[in-house]
Order: sequence, then C-alpha cells, then structure tokens
Amino acid sequence: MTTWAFRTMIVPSDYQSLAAALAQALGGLSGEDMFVVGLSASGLDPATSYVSTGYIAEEFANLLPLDTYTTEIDPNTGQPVVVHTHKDGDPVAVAHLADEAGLTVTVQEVIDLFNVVDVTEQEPFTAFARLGLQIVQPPLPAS
Amino acid sequence: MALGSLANQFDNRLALDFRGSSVLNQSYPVGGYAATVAAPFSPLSLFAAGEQGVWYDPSDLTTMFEDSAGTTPVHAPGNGTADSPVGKILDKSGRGNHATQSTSTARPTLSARYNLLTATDTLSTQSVTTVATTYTLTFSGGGTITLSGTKTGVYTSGTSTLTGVTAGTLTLTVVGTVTNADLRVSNDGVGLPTYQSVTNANTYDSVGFPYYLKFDGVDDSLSTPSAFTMTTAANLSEYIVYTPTTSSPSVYTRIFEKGSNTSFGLHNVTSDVEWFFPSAIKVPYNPAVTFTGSLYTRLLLSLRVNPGSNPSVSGVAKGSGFNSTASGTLAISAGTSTDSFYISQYGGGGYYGKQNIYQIVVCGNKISDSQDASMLSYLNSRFFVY
Repeated sequence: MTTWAFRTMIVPSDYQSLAAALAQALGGLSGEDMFVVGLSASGLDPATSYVSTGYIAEEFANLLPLDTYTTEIDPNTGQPVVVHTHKDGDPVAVAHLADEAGLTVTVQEVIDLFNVVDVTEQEPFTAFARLGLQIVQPPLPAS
Repeated sequence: MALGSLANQFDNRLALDFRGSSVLNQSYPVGGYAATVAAPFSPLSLFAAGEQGVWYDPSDLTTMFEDSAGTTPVHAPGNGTADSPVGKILDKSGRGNHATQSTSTARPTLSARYNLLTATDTLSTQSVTTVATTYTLTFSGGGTITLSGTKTGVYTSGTSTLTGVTAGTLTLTVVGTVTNADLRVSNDGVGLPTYQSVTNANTYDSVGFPYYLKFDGVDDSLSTPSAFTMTTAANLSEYIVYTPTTSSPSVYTRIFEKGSNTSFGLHNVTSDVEWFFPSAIKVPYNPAVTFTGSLYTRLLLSLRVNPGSNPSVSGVAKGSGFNSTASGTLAISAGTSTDSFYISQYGGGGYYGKQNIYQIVVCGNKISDSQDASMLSYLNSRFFVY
C-alpha cells in the first residue's frame, strides 16, 4: 500500500521538461502529465513556471527538497510569525533511480533543478501568493 | 437538536441503507402476509430503462480507489493517515462509466474535514488560513478566544457567527480553558454536528460529516477513459451537490464536460452566474442561472434540458428553463475517442474547477417535475444543503 505525501512543486519554465521527465521516470504512469499547468505573474502567456500539486508517493517525496512554512506564535509578542525551514533533497539517489528507469540525467542536472524548484506542503494557491504567481488560463471558446 | 435535523438524519440513514439498490419496489413478507412496501427513492431509478449517464457518489467508500487501476480502496477520511487521493470512482448508474485519473498529483482528495482548527478537544493558541466569508466559532469551557488578523474580537463559550472575515491568517489566542473548539465556514451545509473533533490534518472525526471530493483548481480532475453517447439535447438532466471554494475570477467551479468545447456548464463565483456554452451544446440557456452569494456555500443544482422546465439552485427555481426550441443532438454524443466525460476540467485545455463535490448525477433522460422533487429531497437529505 502506497503511503502518500502532499506536495506543491513549482519549477521555472526552463526546467519544465526535466522535471516532467523525472516525474515520469520515477513515478511511471502516476508521474505522467505532471508540470503541465503554467504560471506567470500576470496570469497571461508566456508561462514562467509550471506547477504540479497533490499527492506523490512518500518514498519519492523524501528524495526531494522541502521548504516548510509554519505559522507560530511569537512568545514575546503574541503575534503570528512564519517560520521557514529547508530540507535538502537527494540528487544522487534521484539521478540513480532515473538512470535505472532509462532516463539519462547527471547528478549536476538534478542539483541545478533542486536549486530552483519550490517544493512545499502548502496548498497551491497559498504557494502562488507567496511567489506572486497566477495560473495561465487559455481563452475560453466564444459562446 | 432541531426536529428538522433529526428528520434529515433519519432520511439520510434510510437513503444510505438503500443506496445502490436495484430494487425500487418490492413485496416483503410482513407477519405472514405479503405487503408491498415502497423502497426509498434512489437516483438509480433514473437509469431504470437503460439511460446513459453517470452517478458518482463520493459518500460511498466502496466505489473509490486511490489508484486509477482500482486496486487500492480509499480509506475513511480522518482515520490517522493522509486523506486518500482518488484515482478511480465507480459509476453507480449501471452504465459502467467509471472515471479515473492516472497522474497521482492530479487526483482529487476524499475528505470530510470541516473544522479548521487542530487539537480541538483542548484548544491552544494557533493560527489558521481563512477566506473572505462568514465563519461559525463554537467552543466550551471557561476560557476566552481572542481573534486577531483577518478578524478581531474576544469570544467566550458558545456559538458565535464571525462576519467580515477576510482572506489571510487568523490567529486564535487562547486564555484559560477552551474545549471542543470548532471553526468552520458557516454556509457549507446545514444541520451538521456542531463539533468536529480534530487532532491533526490526518486524524479527525468524520461521523455525521458528508464526504466530498476536494478538487484543487490547479490540475485535479477525473474523466471516463472512453467515450459514451449520451442522448439528445432535449433529454439531458443534471444534478450536482458542490461547494465553490474559490473567489478568483479566473478559476471556475462546477465544470463538467463531454469532449472538447462542449461544456455542461461553468459556474463563475465572481459573477455568480452559471454558464453554458450555447454554441457548443446548441441549447441556448435562457436566461443564465444566477446565484446569490454562492462562494463557499454548499449548493444543490438541478438542470434539466426539458423544454419549459425550470432549473433550480438549492430548491429555489431560477430562470425560465431552457429555450423551448431545444432540439438536435448534443455535441456530447459525437462518440469520438476524445469524448470522455470530464469532472472538474474543461476539455479544451486549462480551467480546472476549485470545488468540493458531494454528488454528481447526469442522466440522458427527461426528468419529470415529480422525479425532480424526489431527487432534490434525496440529495438534500443526504448532504444537508438547505
């Protein structure tokens, strides 16, 4: 039985194809079609980032970097403060698993990706607000 | 507890016990005599003549799986592990139009969470994220809760309605003993238990709280893997119980679609208007259905493409029905390989719905006024809409 972990993952558009390829290599069918939703500051094309949000297998989540934002109460002021912590990912393991799945990727490429990807447990629209991004919606057909 | 609530729960129990039954009326032996007992109404009766359509029931755990292959059943929400992603939901109409999602991050989540707080049995100071709507705060004990951030004020035990809450971070500062604390959106259902015990995001009481599929408005959706032909335009009926959970003008709710550019409808909570795509479905909706304050409000929508029939929102008739000239075949019946039925996704690309869905019934048949009344009663008794 799969244990799931919730993640919101946002990658710059330059890294979309690598992130999508890694997701599919590591996740198989359940990793297909990730990072297809575009984001930009204005909500208009072109997308500057791509997002995938929802549950992924915990074993893969543990290999990714993770930024955690928790709201805690400052004991001195009684006011809420956002506490940010960062956990590094495991680029060596990711590159190794990708290689086993038939995707050739170097450790440095994964490191570069991990340096720019935004991985949190935040709800997607909370993450969008933090990063100043909106979903790029295509035009609706004329009615 | 109000008598109305008791009656609702009784109806709900009956409905749950008989749901999915293919036996609508049957003779049962009573005291040695055969008596004909009318079984409770079931949406299954809408499909009795083999009509095409779908009936998705997220309250029925036996119909959902975490994976798209349907091998790992979902678990009850709040049982100590993360709420289940739903990769497959079975169609209870009998037509076999099961819906799936192979991408794990694009699966909706099965939830029954209403209370935003954690460690609620004995509350400590904490912050939660709020949206701009009205909330209800309930708690016991001799202590006080001081609100700051998106709402201010000092509250003592009892039930308080919090109007004017804005979007952002709400901090609840606890002084003294506060027990059985509950903070929830006010209009998301009526007659629910007033307290939901929550330990943390994974552990909470779900008894008495209707289950729903939570769609994130980013990439979550389900769809039938293969096409099916629905019906003609004059023979389509649709019921949905849902809660819009977005205030963004560019994020829609109640998105259903059969094939590209053939949407059943979109609900824009900013304009509070239900849209159809007349050019695609060839059935001018006249006039559009308008809501009032639908954001974060549970809704029961009845849309019947019967010429002259009135749509309704939560039991209130809206508009004057579909154009009486409705005719022809809906584009949804084209039957091409791309004509899947999409839930919470616009098939033309983009536009994922941000909503909590409690029930979906779409039937390729005319629904009479009396059947419509039965459906509304059935759905309202199970999902506590109004």
